[in-house]
Amino acid sequence: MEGGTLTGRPPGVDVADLFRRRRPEMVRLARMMTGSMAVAEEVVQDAFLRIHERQGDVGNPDAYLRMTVVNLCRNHRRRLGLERRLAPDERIVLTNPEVDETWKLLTELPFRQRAVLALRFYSDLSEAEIAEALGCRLGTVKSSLHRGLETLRRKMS
Amino acid sequence: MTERQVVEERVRAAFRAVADLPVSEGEVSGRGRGSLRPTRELLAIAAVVLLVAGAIGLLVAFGPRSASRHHNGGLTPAVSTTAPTTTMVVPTTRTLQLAFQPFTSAGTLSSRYHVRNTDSGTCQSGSQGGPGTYRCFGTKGGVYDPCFAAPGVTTGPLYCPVDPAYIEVDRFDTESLPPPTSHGQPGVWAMQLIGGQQCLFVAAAWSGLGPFECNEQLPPTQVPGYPVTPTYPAVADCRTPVAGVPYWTTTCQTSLTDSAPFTAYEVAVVWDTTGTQVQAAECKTNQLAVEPVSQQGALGTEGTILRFRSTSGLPCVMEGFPGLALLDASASDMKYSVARGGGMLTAMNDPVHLVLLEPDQTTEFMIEWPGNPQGTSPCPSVASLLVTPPDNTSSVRVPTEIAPCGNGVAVSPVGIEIYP
Repeated sequence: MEGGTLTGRPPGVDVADLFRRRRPEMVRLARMMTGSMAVAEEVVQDAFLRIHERQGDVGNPDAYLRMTVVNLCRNHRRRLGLERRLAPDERIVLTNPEVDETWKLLTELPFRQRAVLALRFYSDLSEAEIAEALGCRLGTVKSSLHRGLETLRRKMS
Repeated sequence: MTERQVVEERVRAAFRAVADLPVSEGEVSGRGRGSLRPTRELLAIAAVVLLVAGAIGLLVAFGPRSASRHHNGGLTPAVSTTAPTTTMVVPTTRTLQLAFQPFTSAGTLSSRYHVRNTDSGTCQSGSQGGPGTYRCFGTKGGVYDPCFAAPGVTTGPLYCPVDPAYIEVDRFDTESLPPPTSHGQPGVWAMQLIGGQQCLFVAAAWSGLGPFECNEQLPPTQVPGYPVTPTYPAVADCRTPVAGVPYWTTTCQTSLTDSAPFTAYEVAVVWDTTGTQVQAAECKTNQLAVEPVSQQGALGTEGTILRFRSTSGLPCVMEGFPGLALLDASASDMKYSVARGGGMLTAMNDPVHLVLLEPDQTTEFMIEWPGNPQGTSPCPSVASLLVTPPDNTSSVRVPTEIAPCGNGVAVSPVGIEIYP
């Protein structure tokens, strides 16, 4: 992204500035949710494009951006069946065996559980903030968090 | 450090490791719809997308309705890594046609519905729901369709169902409501498939696929008369259902890829406004038996599963939460608080499903509570449960041997996924 001037953008939300500030973090978050470097970048591009399409009328841009990224990750997973169709060389492999094993287990979780874990343990969001980002109830976050950790615990033991 | 804390630490480490991988610069060559490029090119892309979206009604898919389906897990496969022992009771003989009627005789919203969001703006007569329904446009660009107004009102509020289960609705306020149209093509605007998926009309969702978008795949277990295959029934987008005897049918894609084939599915329930609905009777207490199923527990939470069985020989429908009271040996109320949803052992906050009980069929629900925190002193023993089926006032007493700690329990809706 160069220059950062988006002609015609509405007052109040500087999409270019938002792009510069938040893109790396959003790519990382999308990577955790999709399990793919390439898809993560595409998803984040799409999210910024949507914010621009809405002419910046998004209330809290940071929260809206995060919610859009999460939703697009979810859609991408459904649309492409990425969990099963990713070529092996597109999968993220980590050098530390234990960390890589944990990551592999994380990628096997249902999307919502993985998304909740990523927002909780990577983004450090509160459960209420996660509920907002996922567009679900607080109770759903709690149960997804519980079930995700319990599945991991069972598979690790 | 507890076992759970160890798991949390490993999760943090894995996410940190993934986060530490490099992130490319912002100029990404676009795959598919486009990439974010400076100024004119981005605007051109956005303009084309908006034009296409406007032409095919894509705004509906991006409006609050779409978000509401996300809220209900609509686009999130609720696939557990372990097979749920759930029941989703489905009809085996016919398709039900139901009307959406959320209003009391006084014209107010029935107390069984929960208002999720409130918006305001303008509404126009006619929508996919057919005559008497509205399409409303929120001040921030959201599109709600269909919305329903109480008979005779001219200013709203209208209520727009979030999903076909109807427990949640969006409230839409408008200062001036045009008279309802009596003409127009009545159409199905929501349906529930034989496998339990609920599908909502969203016009041109998913790049022109649709027009119905369905929520998560439900487990194939206990679908009477249907072969259990690993892919049954993975549904993405469905076409408009076609009336048939005894079933309506629809065709749906098995995934959200453009090239995915369409497969025929039978439709359990359709919602429309044709005025010819066969409203299945709600299940009454006197046509139901309540039976204990099993006890469950994990990570400090305990629960018991019960089920309603239809005993009357007639089909009936039920949805929502059973009422509950916990009684001691002298049949006195032990004054436990009972929360609706919010439990840990079930997908308690997933969509509330409409459950059709054919004769002798069952549907399950769960009661759960925190386990004994000390693991030593016994918790109060409950001798029986007083269970009130959803939308009923009379109850059934069921013997039990549970001993919930604390002073509250949570109850799930009927027909919900229960994880072992």
